[in-house]
Amino acid sequence: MKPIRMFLLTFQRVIEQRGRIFVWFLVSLINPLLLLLFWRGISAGHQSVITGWTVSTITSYYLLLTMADSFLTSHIEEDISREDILKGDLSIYLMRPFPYFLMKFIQELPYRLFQGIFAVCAGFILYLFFGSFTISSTWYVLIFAVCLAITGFMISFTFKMILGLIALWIKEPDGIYQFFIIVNLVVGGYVVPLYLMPSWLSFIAYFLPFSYVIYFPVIAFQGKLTVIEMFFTFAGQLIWLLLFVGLYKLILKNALKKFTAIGI
Amino acid sequence: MKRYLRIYLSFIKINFTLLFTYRASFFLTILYTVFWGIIGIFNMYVLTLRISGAYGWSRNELILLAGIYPIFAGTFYLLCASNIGRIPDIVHRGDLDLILTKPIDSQFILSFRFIDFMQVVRICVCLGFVIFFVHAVSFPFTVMSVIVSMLLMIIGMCIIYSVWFGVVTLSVWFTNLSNLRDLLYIFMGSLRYPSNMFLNKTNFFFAFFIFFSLSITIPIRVLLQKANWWEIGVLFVVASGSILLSRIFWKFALRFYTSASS
Repeated sequence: MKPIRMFLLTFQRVIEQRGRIFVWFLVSLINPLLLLLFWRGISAGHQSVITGWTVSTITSYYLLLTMADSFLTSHIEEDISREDILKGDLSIYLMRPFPYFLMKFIQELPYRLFQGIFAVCAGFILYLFFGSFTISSTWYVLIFAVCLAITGFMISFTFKMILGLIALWIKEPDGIYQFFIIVNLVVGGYVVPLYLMPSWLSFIAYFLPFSYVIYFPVIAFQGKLTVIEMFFTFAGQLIWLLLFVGLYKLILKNALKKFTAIGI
Repeated sequence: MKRYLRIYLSFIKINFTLLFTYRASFFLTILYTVFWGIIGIFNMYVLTLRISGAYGWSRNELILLAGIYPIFAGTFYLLCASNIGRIPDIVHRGDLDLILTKPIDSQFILSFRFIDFMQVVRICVCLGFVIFFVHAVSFPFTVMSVIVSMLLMIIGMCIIYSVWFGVVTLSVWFTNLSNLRDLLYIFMGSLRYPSNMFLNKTNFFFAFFIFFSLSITIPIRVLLQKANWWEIGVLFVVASGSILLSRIFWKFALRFYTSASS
Protein backbone atom coordinates (compact mmCIF):
# COMPACT_ATOMS: atom_id res chain seq x y z
CA MET A 1 0.00 0.00 0.00
CA LYS A 2 2.91 2.36 0.66
CA PRO A 3 3.84 2.74 -3.04
CA ILE A 4 0.22 3.75 -3.73
CA ARG A 5 0.40 6.33 -0.96
CA MET A 6 3.67 7.65 -2.42
CA PHE A 7 2.03 7.80 -5.84
CA LEU A 8 -0.92 9.79 -4.47
CA LEU A 9 1.37 12.19 -2.63
CA THR A 10 3.32 12.86 -5.82
CA PHE A 11 0.05 13.29 -7.68
CA GLN A 12 -0.87 16.09 -5.24
CA ARG A 13 2.43 17.81 -6.06
CA VAL A 14 1.76 17.34 -9.77
CA ILE A 15 -1.66 18.99 -9.48
CA GLU A 16 -0.04 21.86 -7.61
CA GLN A 17 2.33 22.32 -10.57
CA ARG A 18 -0.34 21.96 -13.26
CA GLY A 19 0.68 25.24 -14.96
CA ARG A 20 4.26 24.08 -15.39
CA ILE A 21 3.14 20.67 -16.62
CA PHE A 22 0.85 22.33 -19.13
CA VAL A 23 3.82 24.29 -20.47
CA TRP A 24 5.83 21.05 -20.69
CA PHE A 25 2.96 19.51 -22.59
CA LEU A 26 2.97 22.47 -25.02
CA VAL A 27 6.70 21.91 -25.49
CA SER A 28 6.02 18.34 -26.59
CA LEU A 29 3.09 19.45 -28.76
CA ILE A 30 4.67 22.21 -30.88
CA ASN A 31 7.11 20.17 -32.97
CA PRO A 32 4.67 17.44 -34.07
CA LEU A 33 2.05 20.14 -34.66
CA LEU A 34 4.39 22.09 -36.98
CA LEU A 35 5.20 18.92 -38.90
CA LEU A 36 1.53 18.08 -39.10
CA LEU A 37 0.74 21.54 -40.49
CA PHE A 38 3.60 21.21 -42.98
CA TRP A 39 2.32 17.92 -44.37
CA ARG A 40 -1.37 18.82 -44.24
CA GLY A 41 -0.77 21.97 -46.26
CA ILE A 42 1.12 20.01 -48.90
CA SER A 43 -1.36 17.17 -48.97
CA ALA A 44 -4.46 19.37 -49.18
CA GLY A 45 -6.23 18.60 -52.41
CA HIS A 46 -4.01 15.62 -53.17
CA GLN A 47 -4.93 12.07 -52.30
CA SER A 48 -1.38 11.21 -51.28
CA VAL A 49 1.90 13.14 -51.81
CA ILE A 50 3.92 10.04 -50.99
CA THR A 51 2.52 6.54 -51.41
CA GLY A 52 0.73 5.52 -48.23
CA TRP A 53 1.28 8.92 -46.58
CA THR A 54 -2.27 10.27 -46.75
CA VAL A 55 -3.86 13.16 -44.84
CA SER A 56 -5.47 10.67 -42.47
CA THR A 57 -2.20 8.77 -41.86
CA ILE A 58 -0.28 12.02 -41.36
CA THR A 59 -2.80 13.42 -38.86
CA SER A 60 -2.99 10.14 -36.92
CA TYR A 61 0.78 9.75 -36.84
CA TYR A 62 1.55 13.20 -35.42
CA LEU A 63 -1.38 13.26 -33.00
CA LEU A 64 -0.40 9.83 -31.66
CA LEU A 65 3.21 11.01 -31.53
CA THR A 66 2.21 13.95 -29.30
CA MET A 67 0.23 11.68 -26.99
CA ALA A 68 2.95 9.02 -26.88
CA ASP A 69 5.63 11.62 -26.18
CA SER A 70 3.63 13.02 -23.27
CA PHE A 71 2.80 9.61 -21.81
CA LEU A 72 5.98 7.67 -22.53
CA THR A 73 9.02 9.95 -22.58
CA SER A 74 10.50 10.19 -19.11
CA HIS A 75 12.34 13.36 -18.05
CA ILE A 76 13.64 12.10 -14.71
CA GLU A 77 17.32 12.66 -15.57
CA GLU A 78 17.39 16.38 -14.71
CA ASP A 79 15.68 15.74 -11.38
CA ILE A 80 18.26 13.08 -10.51
CA SER A 81 21.28 15.11 -11.57
CA ARG A 82 20.22 18.45 -10.06
CA GLU A 83 18.25 17.51 -6.97
CA ASP A 84 19.51 14.07 -5.98
CA ILE A 85 23.17 14.30 -6.91
CA LEU A 86 24.24 17.94 -7.04
CA LYS A 87 22.08 19.03 -4.08
CA GLY A 88 22.58 15.72 -2.28
CA ASP A 89 18.96 14.56 -1.97
CA LEU A 90 20.08 11.05 -2.91
CA SER A 91 20.96 10.44 0.75
CA ILE A 92 17.27 10.91 1.67
CA TYR A 93 16.28 8.15 -0.76
CA LEU A 94 19.06 5.84 0.40
CA MET A 95 17.75 6.02 3.96
CA ARG A 96 14.29 4.83 2.90
CA PRO A 97 13.27 1.15 2.84
CA PHE A 98 12.48 1.11 -0.88
CA PRO A 99 14.72 0.70 -3.92
CA TYR A 100 15.79 4.04 -5.43
CA PHE A 101 14.52 2.89 -8.84
CA LEU A 102 11.03 2.18 -7.48
CA MET A 103 10.76 5.51 -5.65
CA LYS A 104 11.79 7.50 -8.71
CA PHE A 105 9.43 5.44 -10.85
CA ILE A 106 6.50 6.21 -8.56
CA GLN A 107 7.49 9.87 -8.65
CA GLU A 108 7.66 9.98 -12.43
CA LEU A 109 4.41 8.13 -13.11
CA PRO A 110 1.96 10.91 -12.04
CA TYR A 111 3.84 13.43 -14.21
CA ARG A 112 3.50 11.19 -17.26
CA LEU A 113 -0.17 10.50 -16.54
CA PHE A 114 -1.03 14.16 -15.99
CA GLN A 115 0.86 15.33 -19.08
CA GLY A 116 -0.70 12.47 -21.02
CA ILE A 117 -4.18 13.63 -19.99
CA PHE A 118 -3.37 17.08 -21.40
CA ALA A 119 -2.20 15.39 -24.60
CA VAL A 120 -5.38 13.32 -24.93
CA CYS A 121 -7.51 16.47 -24.46
CA ALA A 122 -5.43 18.39 -27.02
CA GLY A 123 -5.54 15.38 -29.33
CA PHE A 124 -9.33 15.39 -29.13
CA ILE A 125 -9.53 19.15 -29.87
CA LEU A 126 -7.13 18.76 -32.80
CA TYR A 127 -9.15 15.79 -34.01
CA LEU A 128 -12.26 17.99 -34.05
CA PHE A 129 -10.27 20.55 -36.02
CA PHE A 130 -8.48 18.26 -38.44
CA GLY A 131 -11.13 15.56 -38.75
CA SER A 132 -9.34 12.60 -40.20
CA PHE A 133 -7.83 10.42 -37.49
CA THR A 134 -7.65 6.67 -37.67
CA ILE A 135 -6.25 3.97 -35.43
CA SER A 136 -6.45 0.22 -35.73
CA SER A 137 -9.88 -1.18 -34.95
CA THR A 138 -8.62 -4.70 -34.17
CA TRP A 139 -8.77 -5.32 -30.41
CA TYR A 140 -5.73 -7.59 -30.16
CA VAL A 141 -3.62 -5.10 -32.13
CA LEU A 142 -4.62 -2.37 -29.67
CA ILE A 143 -3.82 -4.59 -26.67
CA PHE A 144 -0.42 -5.43 -28.15
CA ALA A 145 0.16 -1.73 -28.90
CA VAL A 146 -0.57 -0.87 -25.25
CA CYS A 147 1.99 -3.50 -24.19
CA LEU A 148 4.55 -1.98 -26.56
CA ALA A 149 3.78 1.47 -25.13
CA ILE A 150 4.26 0.29 -21.52
CA THR A 151 7.55 -1.40 -22.36
CA GLY A 152 8.56 1.72 -24.32
CA PHE A 153 8.00 3.82 -21.22
CA MET A 154 10.07 1.41 -19.12
CA ILE A 155 12.95 1.67 -21.62
CA SER A 156 12.73 5.46 -21.60
CA PHE A 157 12.61 5.60 -17.80
CA THR A 158 15.53 3.21 -17.23
CA PHE A 159 17.65 4.97 -19.83
CA LYS A 160 16.96 8.38 -18.23
CA MET A 161 17.81 6.96 -14.78
CA ILE A 162 21.21 5.98 -16.19
CA LEU A 163 21.67 9.43 -17.74
CA GLY A 164 20.74 11.07 -14.44
CA LEU A 165 23.36 9.08 -12.52
CA ILE A 166 26.05 10.23 -14.94
CA ALA A 167 26.00 13.55 -13.04
CA LEU A 168 28.17 11.83 -10.42
CA TRP A 169 31.02 11.76 -12.89
CA ILE A 170 30.23 14.87 -14.96
CA LYS A 171 29.22 17.98 -13.01
CA GLU A 172 27.43 19.65 -15.92
CA PRO A 173 25.72 16.82 -17.82
CA ASP A 174 23.43 19.09 -19.87
CA GLY A 175 25.63 18.60 -22.94
CA ILE A 176 25.10 14.83 -22.78
CA TYR A 177 21.35 15.23 -22.29
CA GLN A 178 21.14 17.56 -25.27
CA PHE A 179 23.14 15.11 -27.35
CA PHE A 180 20.66 12.33 -26.64
CA ILE A 181 17.69 14.66 -27.29
CA ILE A 182 19.13 15.33 -30.74
CA VAL A 183 19.78 11.65 -31.49
CA ASN A 184 16.28 10.82 -30.29
CA LEU A 185 14.77 13.50 -32.55
CA VAL A 186 16.48 12.05 -35.61
CA VAL A 187 16.14 8.32 -35.08
CA GLY A 188 13.09 8.25 -32.80
CA GLY A 189 10.60 8.96 -35.58
CA TYR A 190 9.90 12.53 -34.49
CA VAL A 191 10.41 14.09 -37.94
CA VAL A 192 8.86 11.52 -40.24
CA PRO A 193 8.08 7.82 -39.78
CA LEU A 194 11.23 5.73 -40.14
CA TYR A 195 9.88 4.06 -43.30
CA LEU A 196 9.98 7.46 -45.04
CA MET A 197 13.59 8.15 -44.03
CA PRO A 198 16.65 7.34 -46.14
CA SER A 199 17.15 3.58 -45.95
CA TRP A 200 20.61 3.84 -44.31
CA LEU A 201 19.20 6.04 -41.53
CA SER A 202 16.14 3.90 -40.86
CA PHE A 203 18.45 0.85 -40.81
CA ILE A 204 20.51 2.50 -38.03
CA ALA A 205 17.35 3.66 -36.23
CA TYR A 206 15.93 0.14 -36.06
CA PHE A 207 19.03 -0.99 -34.17
CA LEU A 208 18.92 1.82 -31.59
CA PRO A 209 16.65 1.89 -28.53
CA PHE A 210 15.06 5.28 -29.31
CA SER A 211 12.63 4.01 -31.94
CA TYR A 212 11.30 1.44 -29.45
CA VAL A 213 10.03 4.14 -27.07
CA ILE A 214 7.69 6.19 -29.26
CA TYR A 215 7.87 5.17 -32.89
CA PHE A 216 6.93 1.49 -32.71
CA PRO A 217 4.04 1.98 -30.24
CA VAL A 218 2.68 4.78 -32.49
CA ILE A 219 2.75 2.76 -35.71
CA ALA A 220 1.37 -0.24 -33.80
CA PHE A 221 -1.65 1.88 -32.77
CA GLN A 222 -2.00 2.92 -36.40
CA GLY A 223 -2.23 -0.76 -37.33
CA LYS A 224 0.89 -0.61 -39.49
CA LEU A 225 2.55 -3.59 -37.80
CA THR A 226 1.53 -7.19 -38.29
CA VAL A 227 1.24 -9.46 -35.25
CA ILE A 228 4.59 -11.07 -36.11
CA GLU A 229 6.25 -7.62 -36.43
CA MET A 230 4.75 -6.57 -33.10
CA PHE A 231 6.09 -9.73 -31.52
CA PHE A 232 9.61 -9.04 -32.84
CA THR A 233 9.34 -5.40 -31.74
CA PHE A 234 8.36 -6.55 -28.26
CA ALA A 235 11.34 -8.91 -28.20
CA GLY A 236 13.61 -6.05 -29.26
CA GLN A 237 12.17 -3.87 -26.50
CA LEU A 238 12.79 -6.59 -23.90
CA ILE A 239 16.41 -6.94 -25.00
CA TRP A 240 16.98 -3.19 -24.66
CA LEU A 241 15.17 -3.07 -21.34
CA LEU A 242 17.27 -5.91 -19.90
CA LEU A 243 20.45 -4.26 -21.15
CA PHE A 244 19.50 -0.95 -19.54
CA VAL A 245 18.45 -2.55 -16.25
CA GLY A 246 21.81 -4.36 -16.09
CA LEU A 247 23.67 -1.15 -16.92
CA TYR A 248 21.63 0.79 -14.37
CA LYS A 249 22.50 -1.71 -11.60
CA LEU A 250 26.18 -1.54 -12.51
CA ILE A 251 26.20 2.26 -12.59
CA LEU A 252 24.24 2.59 -9.34
CA LYS A 253 26.65 0.23 -7.59
CA ASN A 254 29.61 2.35 -8.66
CA ALA A 255 27.71 5.58 -8.12
CA LEU A 256 27.01 4.75 -4.48
CA LYS A 257 30.71 4.23 -3.88
CA LYS A 258 31.37 7.69 -5.30
CA PHE A 259 28.46 9.55 -3.64
CA THR A 260 29.45 11.43 -0.46
CA ALA A 261 26.10 12.68 0.89
CA ILE A 262 27.11 16.34 0.86
CA GLY A 263 27.24 16.44 -2.92
CA ILE A 264 30.15 15.48 -5.12
CA MET B 1 23.81 55.77 -25.07
CA LYS B 2 27.60 55.98 -24.57
CA ARG B 3 27.17 54.75 -21.00
CA TYR B 4 25.14 51.77 -22.18
CA LEU B 5 27.80 50.89 -24.76
CA ARG B 6 30.45 51.00 -22.04
CA ILE B 7 28.35 48.73 -19.84
CA TYR B 8 27.81 46.33 -22.73
CA LEU B 9 31.57 46.16 -23.34
CA SER B 10 32.02 45.17 -19.68
CA PHE B 11 29.37 42.47 -20.14
CA ILE B 12 31.34 41.08 -23.11
CA LYS B 13 34.57 40.93 -21.07
CA ILE B 14 32.90 39.24 -18.08
CA ASN B 15 31.11 36.69 -20.24
CA PHE B 16 34.27 35.81 -22.11
CA THR B 17 36.01 35.04 -18.80
CA LEU B 18 33.06 32.88 -17.68
CA LEU B 19 33.22 30.88 -20.90
CA PHE B 20 35.97 28.52 -19.73
CA THR B 21 34.78 27.92 -16.16
CA TYR B 22 33.71 24.31 -16.79
CA ARG B 23 35.98 22.93 -19.51
CA ALA B 24 34.29 19.54 -20.00
CA SER B 25 30.93 21.28 -20.21
CA PHE B 26 32.43 23.87 -22.57
CA PHE B 27 33.38 21.27 -25.18
CA LEU B 28 30.14 19.31 -24.80
CA THR B 29 28.13 22.51 -25.16
CA ILE B 30 30.03 23.42 -28.32
CA LEU B 31 29.28 19.95 -29.68
CA TYR B 32 25.56 20.00 -29.01
CA THR B 33 25.22 23.61 -30.16
CA VAL B 34 26.71 22.59 -33.51
CA PHE B 35 24.52 19.47 -33.61
CA TRP B 36 21.40 21.58 -33.03
CA GLY B 37 22.43 23.74 -35.96
CA ILE B 38 23.04 20.81 -38.28
CA ILE B 39 20.00 18.85 -37.19
CA GLY B 40 17.57 21.53 -38.41
CA ILE B 41 19.11 21.35 -41.88
CA PHE B 42 19.14 17.57 -41.79
CA ASN B 43 15.50 17.42 -40.69
CA MET B 44 14.48 19.60 -43.61
CA TYR B 45 16.52 17.37 -45.92
CA VAL B 46 14.66 14.30 -44.62
CA LEU B 47 11.32 16.10 -44.67
CA THR B 48 11.68 17.11 -48.31
CA LEU B 49 13.35 13.91 -49.47
CA ARG B 50 10.32 12.76 -51.43
CA ILE B 51 8.85 16.11 -52.50
CA SER B 52 10.10 18.70 -54.98
CA GLY B 53 8.87 21.73 -53.06
CA ALA B 54 6.17 23.16 -50.84
CA TYR B 55 4.22 26.39 -50.37
CA GLY B 56 5.79 27.99 -53.43
CA TRP B 57 9.33 27.18 -52.24
CA SER B 58 11.51 24.72 -54.11
CA ARG B 59 13.28 21.97 -52.16
CA ASN B 60 16.60 23.83 -52.37
CA GLU B 61 15.00 27.03 -51.11
CA LEU B 62 13.50 25.14 -48.16
CA ILE B 63 16.91 23.70 -47.31
CA LEU B 64 18.41 27.19 -47.62
CA LEU B 65 15.76 28.47 -45.19
CA ALA B 66 16.65 25.64 -42.78
CA GLY B 67 20.34 26.52 -43.24
CA ILE B 68 19.91 30.23 -42.53
CA TYR B 69 17.61 29.55 -39.58
CA PRO B 70 20.43 28.37 -37.23
CA ILE B 71 22.48 31.45 -38.13
CA PHE B 72 19.51 33.72 -37.40
CA ALA B 73 18.48 31.85 -34.25
CA GLY B 74 22.11 31.44 -33.17
CA THR B 75 22.65 35.21 -33.33
CA PHE B 76 19.53 35.75 -31.26
CA TYR B 77 20.64 33.11 -28.72
CA LEU B 78 24.10 34.69 -28.63
CA LEU B 79 22.78 38.13 -27.75
CA CYS B 80 19.48 37.75 -25.89
CA ALA B 81 18.00 34.29 -25.40
CA SER B 82 19.99 33.18 -22.37
CA ASN B 83 19.10 36.48 -20.66
CA ILE B 84 15.41 36.39 -21.43
CA GLY B 85 15.29 32.73 -20.43
CA ARG B 86 16.53 33.65 -16.94
CA ILE B 87 13.81 36.25 -16.28
CA PRO B 88 11.20 33.80 -14.85
CA ASP B 89 13.80 32.54 -12.33
CA ILE B 90 14.89 36.10 -11.50
CA VAL B 91 11.28 37.07 -10.83
CA HIS B 92 10.53 33.86 -8.93
CA ARG B 93 13.49 34.29 -6.56
CA GLY B 94 12.89 38.00 -6.07
CA ASP B 95 16.27 38.88 -7.61
CA LEU B 96 14.52 41.49 -9.73
CA ASP B 97 14.67 43.82 -6.69
CA LEU B 98 18.43 44.12 -7.15
CA ILE B 99 18.07 44.89 -10.84
CA LEU B 100 15.36 47.49 -10.35
CA THR B 101 17.50 49.39 -7.87
CA LYS B 102 20.40 49.69 -10.31
CA PRO B 103 20.81 53.04 -12.12
CA ILE B 104 20.31 51.52 -15.58
CA ASP B 105 17.26 50.45 -17.51
CA SER B 106 15.91 47.12 -16.17
CA GLN B 107 14.89 45.86 -19.61
CA PHE B 108 18.40 46.52 -20.92
CA ILE B 109 20.18 44.60 -18.16
CA LEU B 110 17.63 41.76 -18.27
CA SER B 111 18.02 41.45 -22.04
CA PHE B 112 21.78 41.79 -22.55
CA ARG B 113 23.61 40.88 -19.32
CA PHE B 114 24.78 37.46 -20.57
CA ILE B 115 26.31 36.64 -23.93
CA ASP B 116 26.27 33.02 -25.05
CA PHE B 117 29.57 32.85 -26.96
CA MET B 118 29.06 29.13 -27.65
CA GLN B 119 26.61 30.13 -30.36
CA VAL B 120 29.46 31.59 -32.44
CA VAL B 121 30.52 28.03 -33.32
CA ARG B 122 27.00 27.13 -34.47
CA ILE B 123 26.78 30.33 -36.51
CA CYS B 124 30.16 29.68 -38.18
CA VAL B 125 29.41 26.02 -38.99
CA CYS B 126 26.00 26.84 -40.48
CA LEU B 127 27.38 29.85 -42.33
CA GLY B 128 29.93 27.49 -43.87
CA PHE B 129 27.12 25.17 -44.94
CA VAL B 130 25.07 28.03 -46.42
CA ILE B 131 28.04 29.37 -48.42
CA PHE B 132 28.77 25.88 -49.72
CA PHE B 133 25.11 25.23 -50.54
CA VAL B 134 24.63 28.58 -52.28
CA HIS B 135 27.66 27.86 -54.48
CA ALA B 136 26.53 24.30 -55.19
CA VAL B 137 23.00 25.29 -56.18
CA SER B 138 23.93 28.65 -57.78
CA PHE B 139 21.22 30.82 -56.27
CA PRO B 140 20.84 34.14 -58.13
CA PHE B 141 21.93 36.38 -55.23
CA THR B 142 23.24 39.90 -55.68
CA VAL B 143 25.39 41.87 -53.23
CA MET B 144 22.45 44.23 -52.72
CA SER B 145 20.00 41.42 -51.95
CA VAL B 146 22.46 39.96 -49.41
CA ILE B 147 22.93 43.32 -47.64
CA VAL B 148 19.21 44.19 -47.58
CA SER B 149 18.37 40.69 -46.42
CA MET B 150 20.86 40.94 -43.52
CA LEU B 151 19.42 44.28 -42.48
CA LEU B 152 15.92 42.85 -42.58
CA MET B 153 17.05 39.92 -40.45
CA ILE B 154 18.08 42.40 -37.75
CA ILE B 155 14.58 43.84 -37.94
CA GLY B 156 13.14 40.31 -37.86
CA MET B 157 15.19 39.66 -34.75
CA CYS B 158 13.43 42.60 -33.08
CA ILE B 159 10.14 40.74 -33.56
CA ILE B 160 11.56 37.58 -32.01
CA TYR B 161 13.01 39.58 -29.15
CA SER B 162 9.67 41.29 -28.48
CA VAL B 163 7.71 38.05 -28.52
CA TRP B 164 10.22 36.37 -26.18
CA PHE B 165 10.32 39.32 -23.83
CA GLY B 166 6.54 39.68 -23.90
CA VAL B 167 6.01 36.01 -23.06
CA VAL B 168 8.49 35.93 -20.15
CA THR B 169 7.01 39.15 -18.80
CA LEU B 170 4.00 36.98 -17.95
CA SER B 171 6.16 35.40 -15.25
CA VAL B 172 5.55 38.51 -13.14
CA TRP B 173 2.04 37.12 -12.65
CA PHE B 174 2.75 33.38 -13.08
CA THR B 175 5.89 33.18 -11.00
CA ASN B 176 6.50 29.43 -11.08
CA LEU B 177 6.44 29.08 -14.87
CA SER B 178 10.22 28.94 -15.20
CA ASN B 179 9.87 26.51 -18.11
CA LEU B 180 8.39 29.24 -20.35
CA ARG B 181 11.86 29.56 -21.89
CA ASP B 182 11.73 25.95 -23.07
CA LEU B 183 8.46 26.72 -24.78
CA LEU B 184 10.01 29.72 -26.52
CA TYR B 185 12.94 27.65 -27.77
CA ILE B 186 10.45 25.17 -29.23
CA PHE B 187 8.44 27.99 -30.81
CA MET B 188 11.62 29.06 -32.61
CA GLY B 189 11.29 25.82 -34.58
CA SER B 190 8.49 27.46 -36.56
CA LEU B 191 11.14 29.65 -38.23
CA ARG B 192 12.30 26.65 -40.23
CA TYR B 193 9.07 26.66 -42.23
CA PRO B 194 7.88 29.19 -44.82
CA SER B 195 5.43 31.69 -43.36
CA ASN B 196 2.77 30.99 -45.98
CA MET B 197 2.44 27.52 -44.46
CA PHE B 198 0.56 29.19 -41.60
CA LEU B 199 -1.62 31.16 -44.01
CA ASN B 200 -2.65 28.05 -45.85
CA LYS B 201 -6.43 27.62 -45.63
CA THR B 202 -6.09 24.23 -43.90
CA ASN B 203 -3.75 25.67 -41.26
CA PHE B 204 -5.34 29.07 -40.77
CA PHE B 205 -6.24 28.32 -37.14
CA PHE B 206 -2.51 28.33 -36.37
CA ALA B 207 -1.78 31.67 -38.03
CA PHE B 208 -0.27 33.03 -34.77
CA PHE B 209 2.97 31.23 -35.70
CA ILE B 210 3.34 33.77 -38.46
CA PHE B 211 4.72 36.39 -36.05
CA PHE B 212 7.74 34.16 -35.60
CA SER B 213 7.95 32.90 -39.12
CA LEU B 214 7.82 36.13 -41.11
CA SER B 215 10.85 37.48 -39.25
CA ILE B 216 13.07 35.17 -41.30
CA THR B 217 10.89 34.27 -44.29
CA ILE B 218 10.69 37.84 -45.61
CA PRO B 219 14.48 38.47 -45.43
CA ILE B 220 15.08 35.19 -47.26
CA ARG B 221 12.50 36.07 -49.88
CA VAL B 222 14.44 39.32 -50.36
CA LEU B 223 17.63 37.28 -50.66
CA LEU B 224 15.97 35.16 -53.34
CA GLN B 225 14.62 38.36 -54.95
CA LYS B 226 11.06 37.17 -54.62
CA ALA B 227 9.76 39.64 -52.04
CA ASN B 228 7.33 42.48 -52.69
CA TRP B 229 7.72 45.96 -51.22
CA TRP B 230 4.63 45.55 -49.09
CA GLU B 231 6.16 42.49 -47.38
CA ILE B 232 9.13 44.60 -46.28
CA GLY B 233 6.66 47.24 -45.07
CA VAL B 234 4.78 44.60 -43.06
CA LEU B 235 8.06 43.49 -41.46
CA PHE B 236 8.85 47.10 -40.43
CA VAL B 237 5.38 47.72 -39.03
CA VAL B 238 5.24 44.43 -37.10
CA ALA B 239 8.78 44.93 -35.73
CA SER B 240 8.24 48.48 -34.50
CA GLY B 241 4.78 47.63 -33.14
CA SER B 242 6.02 44.58 -31.27
CA ILE B 243 9.05 46.39 -29.77
CA LEU B 244 6.79 49.16 -28.54
CA LEU B 245 4.24 46.70 -27.16
CA SER B 246 6.85 44.64 -25.33
CA ARG B 247 8.22 47.82 -23.72
CA ILE B 248 4.77 49.00 -22.62
CA PHE B 249 3.91 45.52 -21.37
CA TRP B 250 7.11 45.30 -19.30
CA LYS B 251 6.48 48.71 -17.70
CA PHE B 252 2.90 47.66 -17.01
CA ALA B 253 3.99 44.31 -15.50
CA LEU B 254 6.46 46.00 -13.16
CA ARG B 255 3.52 47.68 -11.44
CA PHE B 256 2.41 44.21 -10.35
CA TYR B 257 5.81 42.94 -9.25
CA THR B 258 5.66 42.26 -5.52
CA SER B 259 9.12 40.79 -4.83
CA ALA B 260 9.64 37.31 -3.37
CA SER B 261 8.95 38.13 0.25
CA SER B 262 5.70 40.03 -0.16
